[in-house]
Amino acid sequence: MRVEHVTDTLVIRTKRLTRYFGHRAVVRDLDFSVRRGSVVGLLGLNGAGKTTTIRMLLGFLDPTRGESEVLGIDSRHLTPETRCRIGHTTEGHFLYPWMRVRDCERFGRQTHASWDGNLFDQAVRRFGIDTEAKVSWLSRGQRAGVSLASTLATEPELLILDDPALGLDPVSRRALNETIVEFSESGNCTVLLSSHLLDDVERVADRVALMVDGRMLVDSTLDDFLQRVGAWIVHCEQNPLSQHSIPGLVHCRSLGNRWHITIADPSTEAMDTLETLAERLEPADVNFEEAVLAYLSRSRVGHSFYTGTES
Amino acid sequence: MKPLVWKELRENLRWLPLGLLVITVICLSVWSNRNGSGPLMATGLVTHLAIVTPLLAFALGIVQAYRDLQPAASAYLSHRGVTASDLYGAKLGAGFVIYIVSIVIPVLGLACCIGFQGMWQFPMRPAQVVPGLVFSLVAFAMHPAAMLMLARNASWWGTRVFPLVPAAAMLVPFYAWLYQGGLPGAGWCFLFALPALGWTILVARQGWRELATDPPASTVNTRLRGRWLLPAYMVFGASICYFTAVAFSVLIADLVSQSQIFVPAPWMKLVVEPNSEEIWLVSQLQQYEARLGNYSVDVIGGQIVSDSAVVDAMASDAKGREFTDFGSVAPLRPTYTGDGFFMPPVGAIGMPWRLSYDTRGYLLGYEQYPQIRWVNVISADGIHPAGELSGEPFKGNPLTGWEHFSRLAIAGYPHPLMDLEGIWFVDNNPIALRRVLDMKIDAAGLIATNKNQPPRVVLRSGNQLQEYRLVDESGSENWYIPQVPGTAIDRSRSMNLRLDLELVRKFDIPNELQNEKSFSIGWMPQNLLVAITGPRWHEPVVYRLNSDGTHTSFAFTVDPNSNPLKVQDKLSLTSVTVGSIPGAIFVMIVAVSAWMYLTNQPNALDLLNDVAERPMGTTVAVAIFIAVTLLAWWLIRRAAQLRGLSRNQMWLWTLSVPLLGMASPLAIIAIYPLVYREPCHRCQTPCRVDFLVCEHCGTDLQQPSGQGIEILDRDQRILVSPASP
Repeated sequence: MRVEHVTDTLVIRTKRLTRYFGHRAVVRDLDFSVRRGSVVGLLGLNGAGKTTTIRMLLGFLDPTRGESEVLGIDSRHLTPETRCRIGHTTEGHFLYPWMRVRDCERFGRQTHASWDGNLFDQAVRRFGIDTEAKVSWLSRGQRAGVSLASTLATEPELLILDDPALGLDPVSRRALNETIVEFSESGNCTVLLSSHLLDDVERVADRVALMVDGRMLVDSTLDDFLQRVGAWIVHCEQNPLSQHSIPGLVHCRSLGNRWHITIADPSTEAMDTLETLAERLEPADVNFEEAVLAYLSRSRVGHSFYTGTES
Repeated sequence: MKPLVWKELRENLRWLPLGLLVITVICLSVWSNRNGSGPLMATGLVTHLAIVTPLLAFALGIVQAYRDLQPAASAYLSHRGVTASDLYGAKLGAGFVIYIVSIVIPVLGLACCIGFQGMWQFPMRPAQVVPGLVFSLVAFAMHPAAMLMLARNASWWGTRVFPLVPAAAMLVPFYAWLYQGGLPGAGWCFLFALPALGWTILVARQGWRELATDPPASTVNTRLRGRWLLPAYMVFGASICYFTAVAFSVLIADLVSQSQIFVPAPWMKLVVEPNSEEIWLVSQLQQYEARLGNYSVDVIGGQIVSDSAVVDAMASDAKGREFTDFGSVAPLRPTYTGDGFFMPPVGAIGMPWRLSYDTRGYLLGYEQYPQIRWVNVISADGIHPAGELSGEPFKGNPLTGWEHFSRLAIAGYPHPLMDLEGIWFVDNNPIALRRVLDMKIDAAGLIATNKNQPPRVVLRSGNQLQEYRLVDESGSENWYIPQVPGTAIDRSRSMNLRLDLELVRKFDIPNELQNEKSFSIGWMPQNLLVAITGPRWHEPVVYRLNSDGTHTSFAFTVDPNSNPLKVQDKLSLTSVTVGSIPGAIFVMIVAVSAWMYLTNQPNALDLLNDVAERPMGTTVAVAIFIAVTLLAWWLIRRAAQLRGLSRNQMWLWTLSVPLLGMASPLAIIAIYPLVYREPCHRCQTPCRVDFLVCEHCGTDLQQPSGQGIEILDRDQRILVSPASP
């Protein structure tokens, strides 16, 4: 009975959502949900499967197996009415270059069930955009503003943003973040924000979902995430992983003759192993960025493009 | 829908000037060639538009679909309060508007030019543009086909372009039909074009809405169940591809095996020996006479035909003798394809004008020199001045009987005008139309008599054959001077000749011949001979008709060894390629042959005899057919495995092989996408990635990550866990 009850509060729900491109699984067995009213930051490296997941959620791509629901409806059967309840900005803020800003407003108004023109004007003003300007004349940040304004004007219950801050200047980014925060606080609205900008996510999101190689490794609140990740500086000459395996090891990074080790849910066994390995063991501070990078670095071999040094 | 159409128009209107320019150039080109010796403008316009309009529609479909199928553009356009059908409809509607405007404006301009010029310089009406417009309508099928091609998730090196095949193939019969001209043909084409176009549009709509590919297995994606439009379309496309490949192979094999030099082939013919009035079966051979620069026909053998005799068609008895050929009395059919309105004026021997038939029932006379000029209108009641169509219209095309009087024309004499209700002669001095026969005519022919006498006209009217002789004003047949081979024809001698028809004899057609459409007729002073030979000279019968209504008949047999044209049975490339023809074609050939045989059609194929006469060729063809079928079965099995078809699906496709041949595996590849497999983590057997459990051992395919670094809310896990069944 409890499951039935909480399902009503979910705006996004996936069950074993999987997508292959050829032989390669881009998203694999994704079990993931987003509660109504939350702001979820979807993180991952390029190619981790974030955009593919969003495309499957919005029914633009059929899953190879598994299923997903958005606002309680199977993603493959989203009706125009349901789509109007979901705001979505695409990666790169696609707009028709031949349209003027007011044409974008008119096109959006004519093709959506509900439309708040004031909200559009307000959002456009915030980005300092002339409504008579052609889209092709706009900067990337201004285009993002028009795109976001068009999305918000539909008064969506759920906002799915695919890397909205890509290429934006700091001022535009701040405006974007403020807009997202205002939107999420304006009612029982939900945001799924895919981004590479960790500080932006930390600023606006209350939950973090982290994808590595098509799998969801983290799905929790920011606080819980930070509490459950621990880091230590290990002093030893050799790579500590060459002799022993450490339970819950997220990442091990070389710092000269020291090693920065990140562990998820550090257990007694893990701590004992660390103490065995280390000549000296120091606890290290764990911030959001460090914790996320530790996860993301797992799927990359080198940490420097210049030296190619292996971590 | 309205803003979507506006968006499409706004984005693609830039292509309109280009389309207008191309079609205008075509119209100008066709207009400047209007006085050529070829067919009238309609044919040229259809041909030019047949090249350009499919490309125009295809290009428009590509540019309209490509941009909005890119991920970001697709998401931006689709994620709003519109359906996929709305988007497709808007693209199709806007595309059609741009397409049709770019064609209609220049073509209507051309029609105006034609109308302004009228029929004075050439017999053209503005309706000349109708076949071209009808073809342009059909050619729009390439637009949805192009959109479907882009929407499909298939390899460019594989079957991605398959949707273009049925649409393009559909245009071929329409072009062949419209090329012949004629408003009735254009009307029929228009009626057939609507369902053909509608079919393509509906198929492309299904593809656009549903990502264009069937599920790999019927159980995976239930929303795609019950779809049949797109798979049927792809089966059609695959079949056309395969049929075309086989047809080209047969053609090439035939070309390769053909002799590159002229080898005359003999044939058998019934003739009458004029002196003895005996009927002979002779073998004739056409030879090229280098001295005359012409072809001559020689008798190379033959024998007298008598009741129940076995006749040797190559016997030396016939050599050196002179014979009179049997002639044919054939139903009246238009000499030229089309309805005349779409054909240029033709020269009529013995007439000072070139003639063109107008479908309203008039012959238009055109003066050729010093410049093309409309000079008169010939109607059933006389010759009228040009300018308007006046007088009593003909019931049919009076040029219909043209080919029946070709012997007269070749000998340098005027040949009459004839339609289904009478025969006319046009006199030159003074110019007048003279009706010489007012009678319903079903079939006609010009039958040779004696060497120095003019041929006789034999007409069939109902169940009667009537023999007429052609006489001059003095009532004699002395006007006829036979042409001596190798000498020029003096056409001037017939300029003032006033010929008339005089009934000589009437013969009743025997009951057993009344269903025959054509007759082979030999002339005798006392009788008329009617021969029914059939296409292969099996049990030929000769009827001797008497003018008192009685008749006698006899049958004879042709010695099969004496048939000059023996069937060659040898191992050839053609037999090999014929064996690759899909079974459906064989079934159709057998069905048509059986129908023709049962209904006594004159050109019925005798398949059993054909097969019996070619044991080696038939054996090779059957062996190749079996080999192709086995290969197709193997390919189907392999393709079905790779594409995850169910056992039932595989068996259905297997059953289709005898009919479709290699088109069946091709269709599977076109319809079903590949299914990938990876080793099951328990049994290590490759299993389908689109299944939740291993198809072999039943293990859940969700692999435990086993990394121990997942940080997942306990509540979240409960939320996403499967609901209780």
